[in-house]
Amino acid sequence: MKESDKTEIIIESVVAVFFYDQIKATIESTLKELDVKNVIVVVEDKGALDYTIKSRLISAIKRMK
Amino acid sequence: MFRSLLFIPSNNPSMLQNADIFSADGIIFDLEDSVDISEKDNARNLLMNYFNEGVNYPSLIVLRINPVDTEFFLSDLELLKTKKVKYVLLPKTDNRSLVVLDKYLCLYEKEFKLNEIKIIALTETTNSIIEINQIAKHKRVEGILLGAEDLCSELEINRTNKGEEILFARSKVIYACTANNIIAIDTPNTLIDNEELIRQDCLNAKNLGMKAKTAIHPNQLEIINKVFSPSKNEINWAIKVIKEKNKNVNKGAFSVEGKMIDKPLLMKAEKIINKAKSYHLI
Repeated sequence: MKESDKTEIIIESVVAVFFYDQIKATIESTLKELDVKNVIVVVEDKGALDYTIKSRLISAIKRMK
Repeated sequence: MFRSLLFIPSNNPSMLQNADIFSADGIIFDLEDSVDISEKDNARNLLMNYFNEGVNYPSLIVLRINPVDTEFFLSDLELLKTKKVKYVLLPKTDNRSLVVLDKYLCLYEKEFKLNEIKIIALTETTNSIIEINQIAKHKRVEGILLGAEDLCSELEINRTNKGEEILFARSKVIYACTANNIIAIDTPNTLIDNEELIRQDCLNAKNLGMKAKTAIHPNQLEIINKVFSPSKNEINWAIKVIKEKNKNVNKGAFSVEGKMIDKPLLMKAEKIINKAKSYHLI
């Protein structure tokens, strides 16, 4: 995750065929919840549940700050 | 009432995801030793979201926080707001750390309208063994867990499966717990693939008076549950004792299988029946 001039979400997931939209929605809602804009988020997922993806994103945001 | 508690590293999503299907009576979500210092925040975030947004949870949740004198202690307590934690496992418990934790638990319970959170005291230093009677008397402490690895490290002695080197500490935990009607919990065994040695270790602990044991791997749970449950023979004996007591209501002593039964043995039978019911064995 890093700062950028616009928000971009890149998802690499072993279950992308089935869950791409759900993963993207989780990332978007978490960014919105924490009022984070203009970042590039790269997701490397191996089939995690939503709360895990959300948790890892929160950690990345807090560490970036 | 519990006989087995399984440690799970809180930074491991797959373990969290399966936490409710292990055969442990309770799960200890660990934020301390099994989580690297660089991953404390990650583990805490994961656990927070799991508690808030997971679907199924273990029936008994214990949270091992970091010690009160670390920078992580107050952040770890934030997890109590999820209202999922029944026990806090306090590392390196002594009288001072118990007072500090109790103060914060009082604040959290009041501020966030939580049910009373109990403490399992992890006694893993020589000082905690020396102070164990006071620790056991504390109103929040419902169990004491012996942490033999740290204790032996401090004493500069080697751990063995036979456990002669921890006989004194085990006995201190058992007597302090029994005298104060709280649960004596045995130290985990680091062996994960030698069933016979694990069984021997469990039997050693049980025969001294331990009432439960911690596990660090799911493989250990079946043996722990079996050893720390009443046996079929014990249950059958206890049922006979209770039946005979009901036939001899006004008698102080009566006989079962040719042996005299009086108050201490009646109490023993009642405890066996309670355990058997609690563990769904009858």
